[in-house]
Amino acid sequence: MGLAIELEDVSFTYLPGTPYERQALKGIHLTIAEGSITALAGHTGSGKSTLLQHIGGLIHPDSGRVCIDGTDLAAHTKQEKRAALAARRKVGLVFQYAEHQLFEESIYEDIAFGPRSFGLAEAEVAARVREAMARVHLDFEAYRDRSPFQLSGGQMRRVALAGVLALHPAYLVLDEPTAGLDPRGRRELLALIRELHAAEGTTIVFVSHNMEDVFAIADEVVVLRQGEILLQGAPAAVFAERERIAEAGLRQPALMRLMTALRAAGVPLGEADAALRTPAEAAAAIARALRGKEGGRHAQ
Amino acid sequence: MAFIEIEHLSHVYHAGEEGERRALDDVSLSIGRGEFVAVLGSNGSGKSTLAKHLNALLLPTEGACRVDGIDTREEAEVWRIRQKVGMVFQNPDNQLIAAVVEDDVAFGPENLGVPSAEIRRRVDAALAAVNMTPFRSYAPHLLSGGQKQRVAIAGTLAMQTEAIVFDEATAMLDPEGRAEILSIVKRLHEEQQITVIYITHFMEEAAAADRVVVLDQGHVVMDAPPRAVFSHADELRALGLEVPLAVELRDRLRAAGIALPADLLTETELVAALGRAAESTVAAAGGNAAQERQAEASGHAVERAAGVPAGRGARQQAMPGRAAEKGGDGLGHRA
Amino acid sequence: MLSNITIGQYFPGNSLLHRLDPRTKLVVLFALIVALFLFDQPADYFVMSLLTLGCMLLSRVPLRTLVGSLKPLWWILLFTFVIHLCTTPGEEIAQVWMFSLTWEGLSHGFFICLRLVLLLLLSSLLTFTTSPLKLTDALEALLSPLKRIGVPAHELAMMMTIALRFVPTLLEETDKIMKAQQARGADFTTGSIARRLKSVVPILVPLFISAFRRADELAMAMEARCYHGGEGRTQMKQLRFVPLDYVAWAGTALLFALLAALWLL
Repeated sequence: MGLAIELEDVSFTYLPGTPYERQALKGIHLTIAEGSITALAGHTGSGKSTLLQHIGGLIHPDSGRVCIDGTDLAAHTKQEKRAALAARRKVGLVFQYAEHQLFEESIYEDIAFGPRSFGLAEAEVAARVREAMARVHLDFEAYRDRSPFQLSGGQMRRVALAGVLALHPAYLVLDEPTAGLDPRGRRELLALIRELHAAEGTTIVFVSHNMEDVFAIADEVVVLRQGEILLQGAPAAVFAERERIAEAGLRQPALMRLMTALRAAGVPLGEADAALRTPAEAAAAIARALRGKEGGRHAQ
Repeated sequence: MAFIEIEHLSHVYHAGEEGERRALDDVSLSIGRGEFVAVLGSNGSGKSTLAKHLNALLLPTEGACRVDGIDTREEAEVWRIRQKVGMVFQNPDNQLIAAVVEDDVAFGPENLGVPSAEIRRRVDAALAAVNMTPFRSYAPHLLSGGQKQRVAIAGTLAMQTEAIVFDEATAMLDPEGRAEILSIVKRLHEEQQITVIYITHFMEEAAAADRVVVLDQGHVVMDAPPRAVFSHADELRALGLEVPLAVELRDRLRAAGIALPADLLTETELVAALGRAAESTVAAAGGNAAQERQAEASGHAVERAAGVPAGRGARQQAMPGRAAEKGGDGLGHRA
Repeated sequence: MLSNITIGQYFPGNSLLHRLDPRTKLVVLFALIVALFLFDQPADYFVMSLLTLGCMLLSRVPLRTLVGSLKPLWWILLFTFVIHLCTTPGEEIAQVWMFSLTWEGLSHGFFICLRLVLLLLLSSLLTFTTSPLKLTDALEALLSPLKRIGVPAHELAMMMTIALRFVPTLLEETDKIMKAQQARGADFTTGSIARRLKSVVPILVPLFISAFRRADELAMAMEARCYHGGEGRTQMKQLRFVPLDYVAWAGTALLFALLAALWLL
């Protein structure tokens, strides 16, 4: 596993020297491994979105460095600039409520905007649009000429996601990807992110305040509080720290809370059962526990 | 007569034009004073359209909607209706009008021509009821989503509404904000006997209501207490909804042969029921099962999780014909 | 970040100036501006300067912040001064290229600049000590007698209120959309003018769509809260004059008399 995204001692302050000065990030050290799904979790104002924009190269740190595959995103000389731009283009950034950035008359044109801005030839643009639409499960022929504004919220968000996927990012970075979606839309989007990860090995970084989402798909969690990293590690280990999670203004995932409560109520579950991530796994573990050891072996 | 009476109500958008869409189709519903009704439905089920009929923001294409005996089509009475039924909308940013919290809360009573001193009294009481008194002189854009929605609730309280319609008021909030709003809504319902019509797609929130109405494609498909509605987990999933976590586990455990009540609803109930079951098992197994389990389970913890609940195929088969007719999102999931 | 830009430059506080009724402040400011243009003797300027300085101290707004508000006009002041210095006929100090600098020009330029500075400081004092909302209320109150001749005072005030409420939200949104399109490779800073104009489309279209959606939802929220124009409407916060206001009015009248006397002398 390569070290895809590295942040070294990154600090950032909004509006320095004014009455509205606010330090959003304080000396962040963070390494995100290639091929991982990393969640940045935190309460409103914890700095998680600011951190995401640093990774996307949209803002540069006041001090410290943000490197993508070893290249610093902040460039000074002309030569550095070219390298920094190339590095920045490896990162695909999907904003919160991404459907609000759609602007073209047709879905095709909107998805083509990015590849065209990158200066690709029209044939390549067409191929990319077709492929990106397939990846977000929108039928090319049926949808290419439709207006993105006639779609449902969930579909619009997938069009916006396709607009970023068409840039072939090695790192897909998403801000609150499921915010505002209904249960079906949320489920589909999480499944989609997992598919992208499984099919292309795309490194995924996403910001969320929904611990259910984090628990469902992340394999690394970074908990931020007031611009600093409070906790970092595998979801099961991070969420097991109930008090520190609460300190960050977050809650344990519902399933973990429930499993912990069951153990406390005397259901003979193991400590590790609290780390089970799906209701199916949890139900199987409970059933086994209740049937005693003979039953347990067979159930698995 | 019930407080809100909806009789054979249909609503058609763009009637007779291109893009005509029947959002509500022959809906009949009555809501009594002091009830707490949750309305569930996936996107496009017509739940927001229904909500907007309750205070005459939309008028029925066919059928009728009466609030406290007043037909919403009576133009002269529209302000009286809106004064009785307040509304909190989905987007916290687009419903606060004034640039200061307390001025915004005063907006409704000012429109009603309430005397200044009385407005002041109502604004203070309303802000206190939603725990926003310390933020009275803030600018709305400096508040969190949950705080903005609390201000919006205070805005309707200051009009002394008898009922509040929450039109997906928690959809854009973070989990903290959602919990905040729900607890305030419950308190207002209990302490001030406010009638609550709570439109949502979060199942845990619906479980807090006295009654759950499920809409699909403009029809009422279920109308019962939460316990009864959530015992139909498969039907709900077929409608694109989910069930609360406790209900999901209940069904899976029952399928695995664990004896649990079919109408078990809350996590507290589940924990208590399983705790009792464990006592008898542990007694039977001689007590060392727990240690065995611990050793075994540590092996599974690192397994890759699949967040999408299993059983999508089963859900599709269970889908009622009406729901399957019009694939809402063109994804092919509603084959 | 665009979202942190505030409208106006209100500096919260509870000084004497903050507590004055906004209508008083508007009327007094207007009177003082008239006085500045009417009475142009050095003694008048002296009194006005003292008065301005006194108000600045009374406002409890840091002097540096107040003087800082002049910064954007520094070049205009310099330009005005130089123009007067070079173009006023009179006793010559020196000859620079084709211009002759005069003593009269020097004094004229100085007083013109002083007048501008005082004007700006006094106006800034109003906006530093009065929240935009109170200003809106004051404007509505002062304009309301004109309702009879068809001036839509309430509607104007409501428009200002909504603008005050939504400018920060829309700025935040613009910032977000710009960043989102930049992340898709949009470039707003290089290329020909035509290209740059074209590059604004991906920002403007989503911004307009969002603004219209907001407007639509806001209108509905206002209707749901029984808004039906200014008729029959009451206000929670009624502007009421306090003794302080009468003192300010009397003071302004006395000042006028003093300035006029100094001017005539």
